[in-house]
Amino acid sequence: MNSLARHITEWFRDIVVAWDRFWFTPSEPHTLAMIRILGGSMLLYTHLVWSLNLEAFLGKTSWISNRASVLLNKGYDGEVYAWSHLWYIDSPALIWTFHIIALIVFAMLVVGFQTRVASVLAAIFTLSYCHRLNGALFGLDQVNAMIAIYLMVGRSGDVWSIDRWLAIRRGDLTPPIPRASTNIAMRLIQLHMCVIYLFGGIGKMRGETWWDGSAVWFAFASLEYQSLDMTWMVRWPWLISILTHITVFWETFYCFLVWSRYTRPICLGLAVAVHGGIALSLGMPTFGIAMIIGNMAFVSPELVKQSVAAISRFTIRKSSTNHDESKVAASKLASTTMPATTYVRINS
Amino acid sequence: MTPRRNNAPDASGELATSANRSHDTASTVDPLAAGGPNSKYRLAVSVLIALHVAAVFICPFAFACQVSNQSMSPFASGLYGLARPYSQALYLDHGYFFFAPDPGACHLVRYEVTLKGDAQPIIKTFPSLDDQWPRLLYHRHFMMAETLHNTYAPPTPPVEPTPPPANSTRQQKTQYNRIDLPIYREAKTTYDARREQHLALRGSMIKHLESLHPGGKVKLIRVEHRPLFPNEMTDLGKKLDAADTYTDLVEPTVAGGAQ
Repeated sequence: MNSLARHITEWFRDIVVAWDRFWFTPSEPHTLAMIRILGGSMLLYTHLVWSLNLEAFLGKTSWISNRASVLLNKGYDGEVYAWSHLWYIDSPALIWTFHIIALIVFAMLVVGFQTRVASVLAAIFTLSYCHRLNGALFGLDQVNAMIAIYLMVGRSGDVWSIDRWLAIRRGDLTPPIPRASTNIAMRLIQLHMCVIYLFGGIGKMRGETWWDGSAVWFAFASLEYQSLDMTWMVRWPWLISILTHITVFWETFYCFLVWSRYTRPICLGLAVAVHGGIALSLGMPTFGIAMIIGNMAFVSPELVKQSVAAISRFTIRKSSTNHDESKVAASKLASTTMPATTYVRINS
Repeated sequence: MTPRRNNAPDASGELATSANRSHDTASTVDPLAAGGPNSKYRLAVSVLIALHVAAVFICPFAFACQVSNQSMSPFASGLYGLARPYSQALYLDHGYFFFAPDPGACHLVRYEVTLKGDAQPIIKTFPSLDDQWPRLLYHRHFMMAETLHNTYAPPTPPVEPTPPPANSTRQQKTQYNRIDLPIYREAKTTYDARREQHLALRGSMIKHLESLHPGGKVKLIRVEHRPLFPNEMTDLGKKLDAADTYTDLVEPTVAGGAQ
């Protein structure tokens, strides 16, 4: 009995240690910073598109009136737990003023200026727009809101940001510090992605077409979604059924397989393939890209840092090669107009 | 050891110093860090994390536990009731049933604007790639059309059960009071809420379109566009926009003209 109690106590202690390690191990900020840049850009783009017809969506005679918006948020118990500043304004001047402020906040988030403040304001604005525009939203907005909320938690502006650049200008040359809050933000994104995929898979498993292998066909055959005609696959039913089965099994088991370093590359590779396919062929490039951004949470900061460094080196090498080539081209051009004796002198 | 540059706590209460560059020294300066000094901090944060993750899980769980007759597992329903204020505030209350359980028909809205005088009526449909660009703007209109369909409740409310006659048995009276009447009341509450949502949304769409066509009267028709079965394409040579794949979903008229 004492042995059993001891084992149980050790088990609980191991759980606490594992929990601590999972959540509170300090992490470098590079992955979160990249999510800030890419996710912030998606937030900025999403809200820029509202600008194209802002009063049609938010004005006095908008598609979804304030009253309809509140009702769409109201549960069957009559309660509303959502809130939006946009429910209280409908004058064009105020709507545009707040909208421009929101766009500035999202831009600040992307470039990492006053990041801590910008991330909180960005989350508030994102949620406010989501609650007001309920009825015109889809998966993109769910992922946008998720990313906006978790960017508030970690220090995503510690690197690759105006804040960092200003700190260096002030003489703070210390490299970015690994922080537990950064790790918490990343873990929250990871778990949220797992929940999304788990229930996405479970939902599909309740359908017949995801089992009889025809679901991907019916997605491709939905004209309103179609951005790339994939109906040629109708001649290859076995291909359609393979894609169907892979999709549902990958989604359902993602939350188990993404944690192991042996299966994570497969999970993430399939994520890029599935969401890239959705982006290209089902007319939802924003949703596809947003999900890929969410999947980035599983890429280690070290790998992100190395990848960015490699791309920077390649870019610098390319631009210096182009610069050298243009110098050579310029000198050749000059030599064709110069006397032959001068030309010979340059080449010797 | 190099001199410390910045020893002040930051907004999150973490100490940031120039010395804690690597993982082996981070734990001595980050009170949240695993193995660090402040376990009470970590306990408090752990509780918040656990509650948040639970809320993230509960909403799609409750959605998945809802079946075709709209009933939900009592356990899931109870949990959802607890999580809902937080989940809705943070826009977490989703099912994530993307193309689930099955990819189904798409829904559009055709609107007809009857203008004054002899002017030809304007008939248009949204979403429309001709009218909405970029793709995201088109998709917004697509989602509004889908929402109009998803909120639809017919004009006829659920039928109230007839009370048992005075000479009915005790079991019949119990059946009525304890089963039939509560089911009806719940169905009626749900119906009233859905109908109110649908009429408000429909009304605001009509008002918006009438604002674009001053003096005109707008009529909205929900249109369902089903995808082709594979053999319809291979054997019958149909195209995705074949006329018989579109169905007008006409609002039935209640006797007496009310809708």
